[in-house]
Amino acid sequence: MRHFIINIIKYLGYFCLFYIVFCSCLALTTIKTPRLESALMTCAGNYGRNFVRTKDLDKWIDKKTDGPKGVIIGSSTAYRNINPFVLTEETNINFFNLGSSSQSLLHSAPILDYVTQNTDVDYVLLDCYPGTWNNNKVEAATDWVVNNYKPQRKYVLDMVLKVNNLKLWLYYTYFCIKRTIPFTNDFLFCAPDNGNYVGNGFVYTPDEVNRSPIKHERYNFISEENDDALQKIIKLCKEREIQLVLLMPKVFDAEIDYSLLTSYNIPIIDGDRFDVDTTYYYDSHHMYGKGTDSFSRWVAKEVIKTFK
Amino acid sequence: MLFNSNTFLLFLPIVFILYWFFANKNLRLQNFLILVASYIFYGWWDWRFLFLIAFSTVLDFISGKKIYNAENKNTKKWWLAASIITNLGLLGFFKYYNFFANSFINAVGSLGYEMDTWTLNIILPVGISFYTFQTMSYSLDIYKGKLKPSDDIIDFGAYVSFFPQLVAGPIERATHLLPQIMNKRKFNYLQAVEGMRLILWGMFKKVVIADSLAHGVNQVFNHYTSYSGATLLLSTVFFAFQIYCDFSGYSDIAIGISKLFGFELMSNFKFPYFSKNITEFWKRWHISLSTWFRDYVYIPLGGSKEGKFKALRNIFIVFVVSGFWHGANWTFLAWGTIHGLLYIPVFFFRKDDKDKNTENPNKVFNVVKQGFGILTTFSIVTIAWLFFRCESIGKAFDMLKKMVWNINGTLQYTHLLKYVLALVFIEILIRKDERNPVPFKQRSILRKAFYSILLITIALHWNNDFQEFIYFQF
Repeated sequence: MRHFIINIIKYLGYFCLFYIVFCSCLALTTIKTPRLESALMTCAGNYGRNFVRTKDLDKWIDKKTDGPKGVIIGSSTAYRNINPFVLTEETNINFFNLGSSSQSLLHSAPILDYVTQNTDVDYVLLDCYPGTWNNNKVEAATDWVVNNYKPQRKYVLDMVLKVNNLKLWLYYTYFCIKRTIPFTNDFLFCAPDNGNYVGNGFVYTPDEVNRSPIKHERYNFISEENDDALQKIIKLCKEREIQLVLLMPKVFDAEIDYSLLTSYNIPIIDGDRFDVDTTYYYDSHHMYGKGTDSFSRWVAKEVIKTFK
Repeated sequence: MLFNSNTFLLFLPIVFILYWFFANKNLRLQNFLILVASYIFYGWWDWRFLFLIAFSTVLDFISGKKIYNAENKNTKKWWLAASIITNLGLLGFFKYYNFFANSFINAVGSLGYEMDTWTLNIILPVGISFYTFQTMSYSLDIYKGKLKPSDDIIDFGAYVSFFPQLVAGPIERATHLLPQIMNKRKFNYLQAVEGMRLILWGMFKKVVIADSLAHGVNQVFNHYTSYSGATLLLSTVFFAFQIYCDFSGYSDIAIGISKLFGFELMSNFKFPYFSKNITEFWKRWHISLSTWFRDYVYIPLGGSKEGKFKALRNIFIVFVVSGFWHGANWTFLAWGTIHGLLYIPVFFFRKDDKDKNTENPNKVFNVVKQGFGILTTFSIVTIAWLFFRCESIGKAFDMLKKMVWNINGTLQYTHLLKYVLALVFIEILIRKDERNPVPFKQRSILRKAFYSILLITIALHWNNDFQEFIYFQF
């Protein structure tokens, strides 16, 4: 029995070494082709927008501006519905959109921590799409792990620790190794019909995207970890003197218990008050690009009103 | 609890440690631990159905004793009948009640009479077909004098509910498993290593191959009208591999876990898609069920002793019943019937054993002949799978028609071919020695690397939305 257990432990040690060698070899194949990486692991192509977004984010952080800076953060309702260029134009606050697919408060907290540590952020617009209040967390975390073009940073590790998923750990290890090996490549394959990346984190959704039927949804629960993350964000903003506003996106045919978020006495912009029908939306909550202009102007007005 | 779940990854080492470190000196305690672990394992899904297993256990424990101790044949028969009728009654109620009720209402409706529906909202207890067959074999074997009844309800309870094979087999005979439960077990290093290897291989088949193919197969079968005949054909082939990997994966994991606890279960699959004819296929596919039907249905009906036609009738009955065992739907019956029909030519054109040994001296000819046999068998088995997978016979024929008359069109889901090719490649690699299928036997470094790659792929395909095993529904 002892022999069996010792051999299992030995094998686990061997396996760790093997995995490092395996990752290194796999990463080296990307010098020539993305095929093996995408077949065996995953590649930035699956989540290409964030790869460009993180590069743009670093540029935005380094950029020195006279005016105040603001961050829009949240899920796809943030990066598809709110155009940071329109917001900047209307408010004179230099906005960057830090939304990514299925990104919940749990993911947003470490990202916000990283950004506010590295640049002076004055305003945070926190998009709180209720579909992410209780989601499985892996998709957004994978996005940030895979698409860090630099060696993995602390906020990504924080996210991985929080999500704690086996597959995510394997991705994390692989991309840690890959980013340290010179000449390795990332191949981006964003499907153009699913939105075009415009810059500053914003994705414009063209009219070609098919409309999906709207189903009635009920959101009356927020997971404990997301609630903790919200409290962390509030604390962080207070400590760093950042003005925080919560944005509840418009969701058609949904019953949402917003009281779960209102108890913290943070100003709220209620997207439901934006007067529009479903024409601008391709599902219950995602906007076509053509609608984002007027929505962003409306949000800008609300932001000005809130921060006066 | 599912084998491919995080809960089970915790459950197994805990039971293993308790079993070998704390209960190893006391056989009764070990068996009690198996019983408790099995009830936790099953109750994790729905604790209410534990009463059903407990009832089945107590009933067969008592009837086994009564059959054995009965002074005359009639009393023996009565107790056997009581056991079988109750077991089949439970199976029939939970599995077939709605089917028969609906079929009757439809039949009466077709004659112009309207009837109220009297179907019930019955949940099918997971694994009922498996453990019912197991307990029935116990009573039958005692009746035939092949087995002495168990004196200890804990031993017998552990046999009926043995968690590695409780919900999807292999269907173990009491003559094979019960003596292992009643005798002291010693930890065997080589057996445990083999067990780990089987668990890994089974997980790979289930998590990597079966679940990946399932995404494409489900999509195509659920929306078959939107796909070309070529895609439908490819998906049917994928389903053949999906069900094989799903079910044989479960069996491998079950056998592997049992080995960790010092038990040997019967082999359930032996590379069935390498069979050269349908007879060979059934010697390699779901062996525990086919041998069960052989011993408890086919042979009691007369087997092949009473001439070819009666033998054929008996085989046909076995296949129809086997189809029906899989589920309460006409499609399963069609599947069983197709396999029964496939046996007709085999029966009439079967060579004698003498002829079998006279091989053609031309090696190329033999290879081509074997290859042809494998391909033909696989093709007809796959067509039968189409009926097995579809919800109705009409849908199966619709798909079949489309495959024949509308074969042109875009071929989708070709990216899933990599999973099939990986499986075929590995099976070719390991089947050289069917009794001990281990790759790179002489090269431990290559072997370790191979297992590590399997482990990495399993981890990368590990899904938190765990897919149930297909055979759980049967």
